[in-house]
Amino acid sequence: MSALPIVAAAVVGGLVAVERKAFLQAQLSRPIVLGPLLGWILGDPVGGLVVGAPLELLWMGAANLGAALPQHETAAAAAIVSSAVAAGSEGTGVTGTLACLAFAIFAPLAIAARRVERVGERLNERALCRAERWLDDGEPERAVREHLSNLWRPFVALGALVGAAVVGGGPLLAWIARAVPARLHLGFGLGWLLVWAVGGAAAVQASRVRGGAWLAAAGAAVALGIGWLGSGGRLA
Amino acid sequence: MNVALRDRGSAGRAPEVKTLPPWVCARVFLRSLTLQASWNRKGMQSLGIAFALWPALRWLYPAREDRVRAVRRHLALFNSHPYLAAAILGGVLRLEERIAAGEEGPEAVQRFKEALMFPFAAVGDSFFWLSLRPLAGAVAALASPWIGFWSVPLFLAIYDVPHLALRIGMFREGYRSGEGVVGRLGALGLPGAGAILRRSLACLGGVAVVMAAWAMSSVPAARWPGAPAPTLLAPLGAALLTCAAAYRLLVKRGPIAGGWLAIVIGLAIALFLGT
Repeated sequence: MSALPIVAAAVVGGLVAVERKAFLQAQLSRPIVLGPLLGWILGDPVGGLVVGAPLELLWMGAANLGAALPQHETAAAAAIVSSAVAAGSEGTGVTGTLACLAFAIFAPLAIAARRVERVGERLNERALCRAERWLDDGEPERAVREHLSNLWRPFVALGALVGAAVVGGGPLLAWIARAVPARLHLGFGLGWLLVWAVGGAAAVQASRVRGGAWLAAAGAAVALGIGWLGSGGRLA
Repeated sequence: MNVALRDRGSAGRAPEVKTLPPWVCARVFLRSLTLQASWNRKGMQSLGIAFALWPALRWLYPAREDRVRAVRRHLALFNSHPYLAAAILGGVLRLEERIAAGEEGPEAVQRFKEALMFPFAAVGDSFFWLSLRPLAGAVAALASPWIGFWSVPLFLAIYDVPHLALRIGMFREGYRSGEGVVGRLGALGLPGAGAILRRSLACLGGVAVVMAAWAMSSVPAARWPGAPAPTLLAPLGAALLTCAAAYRLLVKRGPIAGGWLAIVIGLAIALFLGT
């Protein structure tokens, strides 16, 4: 892979890290957007979507409520998608094996990145103290400018993460995937499909409604009915 | 310069209420998009509010000391939903105009923010973070096998059209009607709409399970031993089992453990099938 898509992916990763909380919050940082976007930049939009869509379902309940920080789904999704697509660019495309391995290895970054975010909040607290000092010195314009003083941190952090995931994570995944016994490839493929089922559980949980399981059962029944009709009754 | 003159009654003085020019209001709105850039546990969004308001404060208060006082009063703790905070900001602009003209005391703006920030946070969190976003994500993800890359614009359309419309509209409404913005927000019925969206989300959870089963049934190597043709029952059983197990696990361990569980079950099925 040439340097240009790697740099572009890193820049996009950095931008969505800023967009996630510090600017706009139009949800460009969600896995359903970030996955195909990074995949497209790295040469495999479909692969990015295959990885990003189930990740969206998994992390759909992550919400920044008050002072509580959710897992950093953007960091995890960026690393998982970038590494899986980079590994797939060596010829296989994004397979279930690559997606599962990427998830198994890089998903914990969602927790690590949340800790980094907490550190960022402490640095922002210092920015607020500096702003108060500027006010004491009679400099209101400099005081309000402190607001953007830490904006570069999430940009650099996630940009570097995406770059490292492509350059280091991709070859690592490809190497591990080659070492996986052939009979386990089917298992990983099925495992990645079952992530959708876990996403279903996440949806019921995120709904927080009484009788959510019954509503899910109703949804499943309707989907089964439509699918059965669509397949001409072949699947039973 | 757009200056409105209002009588103040018996004193016969005519204090100026300087109305902010539209370009200043637009700058405040655009800067409010960075409201959470310096979020911290001490002042939360306070520095963000001060940053957003700065063009208006600079325009309303020519004297440096007044500007310092104005910025300082906005560094008091503030935290609300970032979208609905736009409505509060609009109301704050209106109040600052009156404070600059001497029609209100400076404490009015803090009272206004304190009265609205937590109720607006509750409404915004419930509707946007806990209802609309999960539903938009689920719809787009579940549609992705059919519409491919179009699931991205679909997600953004479902989420961002209401988001941006409400953000811009509530900012204007806050500036136009001040405290009246509470009534306008209430009239939108966001809590009721959120409840409907969350019920729809639960239904889509069931659809996701069926889609997982359907996709598994199309994997030839995963065919049930002895089955002459693809069958949905065994994959459906596996997907339901995974969903039920994950439901408990998600509560205790979160999404990462849920994903790992799916992978482990997939590997176990493959080993059982003996491929």
